[in-house]
Amino acid sequence: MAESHLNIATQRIKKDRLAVAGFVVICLFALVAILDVIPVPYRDAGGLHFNRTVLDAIAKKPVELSYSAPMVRTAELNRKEFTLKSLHLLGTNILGEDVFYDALKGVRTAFIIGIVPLVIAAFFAIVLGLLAGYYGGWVDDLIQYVYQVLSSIPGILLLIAMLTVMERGLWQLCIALGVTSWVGLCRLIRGETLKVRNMEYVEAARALGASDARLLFRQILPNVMYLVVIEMTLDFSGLVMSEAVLTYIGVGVEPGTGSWGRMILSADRELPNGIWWNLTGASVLLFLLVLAFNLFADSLRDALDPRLRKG
Amino acid sequence: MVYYIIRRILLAVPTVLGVCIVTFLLFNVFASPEAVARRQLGKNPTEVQVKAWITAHGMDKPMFFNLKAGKDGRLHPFDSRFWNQMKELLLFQFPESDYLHENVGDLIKEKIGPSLTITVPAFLLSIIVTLPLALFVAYYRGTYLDKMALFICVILMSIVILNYIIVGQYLLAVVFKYFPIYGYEFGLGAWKFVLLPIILAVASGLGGGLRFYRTVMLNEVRSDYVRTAMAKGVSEGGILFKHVLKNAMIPILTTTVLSIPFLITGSLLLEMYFGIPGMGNLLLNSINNADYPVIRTLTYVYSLLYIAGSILTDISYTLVDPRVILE
Amino acid sequence: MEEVLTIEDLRTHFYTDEGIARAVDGVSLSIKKNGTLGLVGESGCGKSMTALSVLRLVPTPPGRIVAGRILLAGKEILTLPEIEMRALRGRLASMIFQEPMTSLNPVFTIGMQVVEAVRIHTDMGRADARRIALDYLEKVGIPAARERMDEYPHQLSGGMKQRVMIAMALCLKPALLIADEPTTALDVTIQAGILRLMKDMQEETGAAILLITHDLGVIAEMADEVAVMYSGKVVEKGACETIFSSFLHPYTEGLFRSLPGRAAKGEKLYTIAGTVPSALRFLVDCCRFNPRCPLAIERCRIEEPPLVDVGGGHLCACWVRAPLPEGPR
Repeated sequence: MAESHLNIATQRIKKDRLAVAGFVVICLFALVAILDVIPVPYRDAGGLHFNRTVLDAIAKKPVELSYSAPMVRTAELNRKEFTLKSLHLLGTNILGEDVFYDALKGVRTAFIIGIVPLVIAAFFAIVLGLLAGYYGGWVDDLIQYVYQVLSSIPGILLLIAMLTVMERGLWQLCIALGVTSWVGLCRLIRGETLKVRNMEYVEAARALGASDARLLFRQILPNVMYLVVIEMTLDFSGLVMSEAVLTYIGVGVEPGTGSWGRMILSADRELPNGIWWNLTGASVLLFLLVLAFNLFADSLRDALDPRLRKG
Repeated sequence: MVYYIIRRILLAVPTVLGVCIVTFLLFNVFASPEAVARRQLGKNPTEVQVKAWITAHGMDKPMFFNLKAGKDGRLHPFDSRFWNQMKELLLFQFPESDYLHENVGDLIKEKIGPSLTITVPAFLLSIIVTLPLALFVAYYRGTYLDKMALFICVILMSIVILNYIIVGQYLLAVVFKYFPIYGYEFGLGAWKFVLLPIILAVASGLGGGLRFYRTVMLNEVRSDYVRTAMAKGVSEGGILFKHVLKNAMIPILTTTVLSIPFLITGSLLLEMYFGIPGMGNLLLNSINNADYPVIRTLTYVYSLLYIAGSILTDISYTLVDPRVILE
Repeated sequence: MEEVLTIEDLRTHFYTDEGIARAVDGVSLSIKKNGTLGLVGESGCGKSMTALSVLRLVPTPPGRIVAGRILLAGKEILTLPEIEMRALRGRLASMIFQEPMTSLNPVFTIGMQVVEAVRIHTDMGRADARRIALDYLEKVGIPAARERMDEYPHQLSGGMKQRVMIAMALCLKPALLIADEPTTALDVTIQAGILRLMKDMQEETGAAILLITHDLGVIAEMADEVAVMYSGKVVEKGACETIFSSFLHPYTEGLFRSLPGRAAKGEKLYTIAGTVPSALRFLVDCCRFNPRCPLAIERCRIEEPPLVDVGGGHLCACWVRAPLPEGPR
């Protein structure tokens, strides 16, 4: 059942050229992120180190003294030839680090922030949504009460409270974001479960003696999954953007992790001095990734829309 | 109708209590009184000072129930941090800010004005701008204009609000000097300081808003009753402005009324960036200063507003949709 | 008697990503004043699109009327500018639809909706228009019409809603009423009442009716003439009694034979073999029914049969049952 839907969806999406372009861009970004995950160990006086990745090997540029404008060549004396490797495409930041490299390092963070919280949120949302929609009664009331309370508290405060407790960090941020964003999806899944649980094929399966768990997982869940997929792709860009905002406010990832938010934050000091490349590098990459995801996610949502499923 | 409101308010009470409990847990269980005192007292306080601070702020009391006899020799089981804080919030006897030493209630009264001078005009302006644009795009649905408009919306939506604010402020205030960069003036002079934030707020929400309104309109245009109206000879304009608009208001109203609580809490980023002394600024500063009384009071107030907002939304449904009967 | 509606070789095609759907592919019909033509066929045969084409309400991004002539009370419809066409809709010809539940605007009262129909096409003030609306609502049998005028559609039953639709369609006494499956979505017990109402209103206003349905029972009750459509074309046409008693086309025969009442007890219900083709894949240069036809001969597969008059205005397009008359062309 699920396969033919996937095929139909794929065909529909292929027709939307913008969505295909978006998908290609996403893949390019994903490639960068993957390159930043594969370690390339190196040995030096201190021993064997694992914190270098393929991306580092490819893109890391020599460090200068401080700021330098885009398209300058490195000041390192033994690199007088005009190679791509010696060029700081977007200049360097206050520490002399290459801005383009910094921006590329932010890609991995973006993907982690875009995916991990959603996986966490999806877990809560699916389990609680299915239970609430299927069993009704006091289970439903309890779960509804829980998410009503949670959604009445401003998200930013929950996030900050959680992050004050845990230390700053990428994974802590993911957990906090995940735990604070499952409510919307849960509501949707609960609604859909309510609709689906009375459908004939569920009744038929029940009449054939299927247990509750079997019904939930084999019959209801597949029909509710499309909501999860749509929501996840739609929320990806929102999450990536909120990383930037949260880092800006001061509760984002720890220093040392690539972060577009931090680069944008530095624009505060830099723009008045005419230094625009940090802001531009991060903003452009962020914009491209978010735009690509928005285009693709829209097309995906239209393709998976059950009203159009009879195709 | 009145019964409905009363019932909804009563039903909201458990939720409000839940919010209070969760907030209490969040802000009390995880931060030790010592740490909080030290933060507030600045550099190298003595042990005596720390203890005095803790006592003065009631943080030496037990968490939930007080089983020790008090100074007067009697038992006050509810003289604990939890119940004291609950009393503050539920009876609206707001505490004093640790950092600013003002009553939080007074702080809110001071700061709510500036927040509203941005959010309310931004809210109204975005509706005034987006609704006609959406109708216009709906009129030309299916044409190249429509597709272009949709694409532009997605592009606008893909720009982080930070970019709108930073670039907007830099270009329009610093470079072109059309607006002041920073600051606020109480009273009538406020307008020159809030104009740019309002414009940026509307611009950043335009993409998403237009797309949403357009989707709603197009959904309605596909309905059977529009086909009937066309068969009756109603003009395209009549269909959009009369038939579709009134039906489209139903989902549009839900989202707009639901965002009313946000009007009062202000936009964190805009206030921070433009130095507007509003509620958002208060919240941010309190977070940075670990000013817990303010944070928990604001959380409580915000939750009340959110719940009020959802009750208002349900009521507004009856005003636009004759099919809805409040039970 | 002059004809209220004349359709000549109408072709309405839909241009989709998957190809061209020739929904209406050469249909010719006519209806006289006070007459009722029943257009019958299964879903997908193009009958609804024919009706929408008359009012030029075909959804125009994918669809388009590509050929033919339509004359409404002598006026050429297809060449009119949209503004003039709009003036005709609801006034010279009006239409009621299958789904009364969703065809009325839920946020306006039924009174307002009927009044709107009146005020679009006349200069009447609100009070006068209301009087006419009330009059017609009473005529269509809405009880306590004066009070119910200010009610909303969801407060009425399906049958009542359809009566309101009829009032809205006929309050300006159009020359033609197009009814697209008006009773299909209603309970069987209500259907008879609606049909009777339509007949009464037809007598009163003198309108011609183009009645679209897949239900032969409805045709029997209402129609003077019948046209049977298949795959975008008319395959048989004639007076109602003639078609019912001496149908010729194998498809028409199939329709009649599949009526449950016709099967004897214990006998298997008759079904026409095969399925209705989608408009994207209508066959060309042959008889479109031939894959499902028990009588198909070689000629049916290679040449499209024309409509032949077999006597008394009874037309049929079939090489076997209505061959061309012998003799010089």
